[in-house]
Amino acid sequence: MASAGRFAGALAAVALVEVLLGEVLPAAANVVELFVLLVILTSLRGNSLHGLTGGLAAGLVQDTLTASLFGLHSLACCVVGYAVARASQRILTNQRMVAGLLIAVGVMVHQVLVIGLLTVLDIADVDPDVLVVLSRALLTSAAGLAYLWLAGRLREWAVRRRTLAARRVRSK
Amino acid sequence: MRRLRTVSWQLAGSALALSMVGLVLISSAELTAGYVSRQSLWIALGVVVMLIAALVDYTVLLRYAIWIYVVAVLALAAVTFFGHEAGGARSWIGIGGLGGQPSDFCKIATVLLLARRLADSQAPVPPRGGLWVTVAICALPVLLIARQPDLGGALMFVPALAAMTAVTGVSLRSALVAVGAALALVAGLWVFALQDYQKERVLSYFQPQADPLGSGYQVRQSRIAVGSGQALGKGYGEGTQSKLRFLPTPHTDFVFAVLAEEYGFAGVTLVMALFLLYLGNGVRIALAARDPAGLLLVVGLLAFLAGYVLYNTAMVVGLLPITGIPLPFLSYGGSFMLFCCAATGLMIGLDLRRFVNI
Repeated sequence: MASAGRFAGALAAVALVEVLLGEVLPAAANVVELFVLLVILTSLRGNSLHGLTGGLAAGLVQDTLTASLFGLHSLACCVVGYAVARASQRILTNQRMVAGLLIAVGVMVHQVLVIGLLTVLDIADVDPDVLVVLSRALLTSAAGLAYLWLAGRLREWAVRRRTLAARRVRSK
Repeated sequence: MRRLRTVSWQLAGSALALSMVGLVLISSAELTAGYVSRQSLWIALGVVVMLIAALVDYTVLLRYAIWIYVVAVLALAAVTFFGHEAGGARSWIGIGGLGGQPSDFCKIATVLLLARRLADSQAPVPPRGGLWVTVAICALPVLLIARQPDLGGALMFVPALAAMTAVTGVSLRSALVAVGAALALVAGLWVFALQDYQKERVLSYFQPQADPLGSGYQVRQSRIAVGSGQALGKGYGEGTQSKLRFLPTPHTDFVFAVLAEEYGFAGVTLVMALFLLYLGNGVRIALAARDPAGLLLVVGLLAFLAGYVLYNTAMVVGLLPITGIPLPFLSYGGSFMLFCCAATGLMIGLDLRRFVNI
């Protein structure tokens, strides 16, 4: 349940950032797919149920916040979350380059799904720009890698601090 | 995922079959482009939601039922301030585009909390408050939904509460108190919550011929649609009542009238058989549930869905006053479809955990 709480907190933070970006810099809000990044980072641990649930929750929030059709991003995020979780069960995702690649592929799959659903279901006229899709995938991947690097550094720092504190107690 | 292979697929199969029938009816009654594609998207998402609800352990949901309920009620309260208006009711939450209806989410949250509380009431040390707290848990969302105003949605909590308390076992005195409270609630809703058009609809139920072009219009047109279907119906896309826009909302609340008009008695029998298969399987799952909370959870969800089916079909043929109550799996609507699929998934989840030791 702690992981669910962490995910809920992260989702709330992402939603807040999206709303603020949408108000201040509307163009920047579409550059990085923060909701998809959150879903992929959650699914990287390899739990397919967490991938599905996280995808549904993040997608529903994204559908509510953006002017898109209710259910569009939810379905796409669910598929991405499940696929990334299944992939993570088979490959080593603790290597940052692999994780980065998985994030980039996940974002591209999400984009293709959203565009595909809009086209197949004849909901809206879409004119997909390959460059935009690729740059979004790259930037989201870079943001994901930056997060993973920062999280790794923080974890190392916390371990070092705990070790130093233990040494100090022992020396006393 | 492997565990899902042990589940009886009749429940999910009947739900999917009903959804497909609904899709055909919506495509037949389609007045504006895009309804079928949206409903298809929601059915696909509904299948995913069903899968998630089946895989999540219901005991975990019951453990955190109070928090789920609090979030749902807060979302419902938020509708009062940020809600979008749709069909005369302030029930859609969304900042950019159209979002879901939190009242549908609140139904599951309420059933979860009621199931937990009523199951605890059978323990050696029952929780405090007795029946009053149980009624209050149900009354809070009912009042919020009625305030939107969505009378139909609020009304559907009554069969769920009644069925769950009846299964738990209540004394005659408590039952009489509950009936009295329900009557007081109805009187309160009539005086404080109901809009004039809703009161007219209720009054037109008693005298549908009094105002055939006003408050009695919908029920009159609906009866014509149902009656004109006869034994085999007029055929796909041939329903004049829906095509010529005599029926006001043929794709949502009056989808059953479209079914009766285009597929006649045969189509109605088939759909009713599918509903019976669905509800029968639900009862089987309830009887095989491993604990009282599971039994109560299935009973509550089934009572909700059965209430919707009974009220909608009775409303369409003029046996009950017209209010915005959709037909599960058949009517057009995203969050209602997700509610139905989540309820089905929870029941499947209970079914696959029936042999698991606590």
